Amino acid sequence: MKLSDLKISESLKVSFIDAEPTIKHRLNDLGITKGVIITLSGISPLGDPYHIELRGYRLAIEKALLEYVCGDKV
Amino acid sequence: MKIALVGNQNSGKSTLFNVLTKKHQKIANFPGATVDIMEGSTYDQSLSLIDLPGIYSLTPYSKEQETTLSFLLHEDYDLILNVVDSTSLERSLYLTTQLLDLNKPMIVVLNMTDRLKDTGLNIHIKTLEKRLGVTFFQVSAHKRTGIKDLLCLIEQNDYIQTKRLGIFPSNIEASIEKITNLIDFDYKRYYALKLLEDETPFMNEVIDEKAYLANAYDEDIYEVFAEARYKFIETLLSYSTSKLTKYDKRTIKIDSILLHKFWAIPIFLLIMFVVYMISVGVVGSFSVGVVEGLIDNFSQWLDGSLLNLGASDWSRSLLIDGLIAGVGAMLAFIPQLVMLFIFINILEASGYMTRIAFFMDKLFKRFGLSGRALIPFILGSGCSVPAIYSTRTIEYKRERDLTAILTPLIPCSAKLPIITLFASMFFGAYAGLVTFLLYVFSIVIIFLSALILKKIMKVKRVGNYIVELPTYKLPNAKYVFRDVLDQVWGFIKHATTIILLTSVVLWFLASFNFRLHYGVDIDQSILAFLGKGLSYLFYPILGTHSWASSIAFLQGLIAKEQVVSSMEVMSGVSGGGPLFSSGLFSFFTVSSAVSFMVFNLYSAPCIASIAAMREELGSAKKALYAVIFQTLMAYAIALVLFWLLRLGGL
Repeated sequence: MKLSDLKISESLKVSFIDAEPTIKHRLNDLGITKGVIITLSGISPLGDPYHIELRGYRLAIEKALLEYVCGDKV
Repeated sequence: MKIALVGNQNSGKSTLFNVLTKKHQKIANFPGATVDIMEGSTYDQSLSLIDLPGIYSLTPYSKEQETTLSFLLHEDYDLILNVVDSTSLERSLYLTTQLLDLNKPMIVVLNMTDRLKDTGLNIHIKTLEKRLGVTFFQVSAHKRTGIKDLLCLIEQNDYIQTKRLGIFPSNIEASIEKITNLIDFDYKRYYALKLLEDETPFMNEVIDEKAYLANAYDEDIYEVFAEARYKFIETLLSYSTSKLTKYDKRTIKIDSILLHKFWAIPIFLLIMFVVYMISVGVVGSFSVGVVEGLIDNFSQWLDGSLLNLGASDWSRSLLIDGLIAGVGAMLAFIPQLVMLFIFINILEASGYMTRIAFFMDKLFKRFGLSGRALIPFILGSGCSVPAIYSTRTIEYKRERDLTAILTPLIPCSAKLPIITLFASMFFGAYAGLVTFLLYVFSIVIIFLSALILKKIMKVKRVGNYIVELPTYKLPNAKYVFRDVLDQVWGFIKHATTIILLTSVVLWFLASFNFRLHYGVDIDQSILAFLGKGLSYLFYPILGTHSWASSIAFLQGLIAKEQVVSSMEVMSGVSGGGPLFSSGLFSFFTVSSAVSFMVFNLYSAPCIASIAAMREELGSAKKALYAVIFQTLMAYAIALVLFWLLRLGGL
């Protein structure tokens, strides 16, 4: 499933990132790599962007970017 | 010795820089507050420090991040101080592992250690040092602990400089080693990694190694490297920290209210309303009256004393109508600026500003803007110049350009006197409300302009909003105070230099005719002659030929504070008394007051802002187009409002 499909406070273990290299590398740099567990911590009142929790910090990120991140719910 | 401060955005580099250098670099709790290189030296001048814009990796994604990378690779320096937020070690050490590839002497400064107590996290420094081969040093720049020891350590060269162990699995290290050996210039390992990451390799050796790695890992090399670095850090932290770092609990609680599904926007509007009501409304109108009274008394007293001393007419007029009228008009606005700056600084320093940008992003996106554009817009209510520079944190070039063009449309603090002057004269008790509405109106204008410019500039973004949400911090009263002091001092300096000078020039032009006779009727002055030509342009939006208003507008191009102060000087020379009862400005009605105000708010900004736009847009031509757009639009709005109000009988 995709990271954007999660409900608030659900988590996912990343298995791959299905994006063009520049976007993928950007996400990699911020800690979104294979095997990391990401929690969807909230959604902006207007419905986008989302914020996610990983590696002990919180990242505000557009929903479109979350659609590239695939993995299994944990 | 030259030292580069490098770290993630919002890791506290600027705070540390300020503590080490006793300089004053602006600090805010949002990622990307530093947009340019800043240099300073320690007290005894022995160390020179360079504060660089924050980066998350050695791959730049925006203009200010390119600045940092290019400094690290092309400039001369002796030591890297890698500033790390110790409450988010896992992400922060990623950059550390990349900086190690530069093979420069380095110290890792674990900052914000005062916050570790809250989280109950223990860090075993020795383990970190042993595995990474560099000195780790704990400080709290905020609480100023560990700073002196850090300086001693640097000055005595007392830091670890051993050969580092490999971060990657041995087969990857072997590939890197092979490529590194082919390179014979500085930063070998860094460039070897870049060659391997390259999507279109051109050297045979690189192609071979890439093929081998691709075969072994089945992912692109950049991803392989990133994953390996994070794996290394996870393992490292499992040995060296007492538990996993978790996101700040207090922040989660506060965000559950401030980012609430229903309440976030109403709370935000309420906060902004209160900020402007207090600073512009209550404190504003009260303090302006008091300070103006003081200045009036002072100038009357001075006039009387000079008369008793037998001073000549012209010298008294120069002092009273030229200098005091011009500069005094500005100083009256200081109390409300102080209030406004205090509020904005608190919003920035607490971390709330990033949240506003976060929940506004979707709305902004429709207008071709990033949520991050909110930061320049809010800073712009202070001064457009730093606000325009702060657009550098916006990654997408066209969104950045659009933001730089729109930023001057926010009424800056120098435009506030124009609003206050006209609003208090023509709207009396409703002045505060009218001021607030004008800000709302400005926001509408900005969005409408954005829609037009978005079409012209072809702005279309494909998902790139991504930014760290910093934890909330209690603003440090001392830093807020210093920031406010800096901003107000900048304003006063402006008022007493440029404004002083131009007030004198203006007084001269208004008091003399072409034969240099003093004391002519102001209508016969040099200034009136100059203004008359221009007044034709303003006829359609003022309903009369007013050379004095034209001059006031021109003065506004030098600095917006000049609009009001030049009106004061001109009315002073024409005979004194309250501004709107002087013959020069008595023609103003509600309709012409509104159109004059609006035209001055949205037309070409001051020279300094135009220069900032030129720099950020990258060409004089683009800046010129921007100014033409702003001026034509301002004229159109003024024209429409003037005739609408006039037909309504105002």
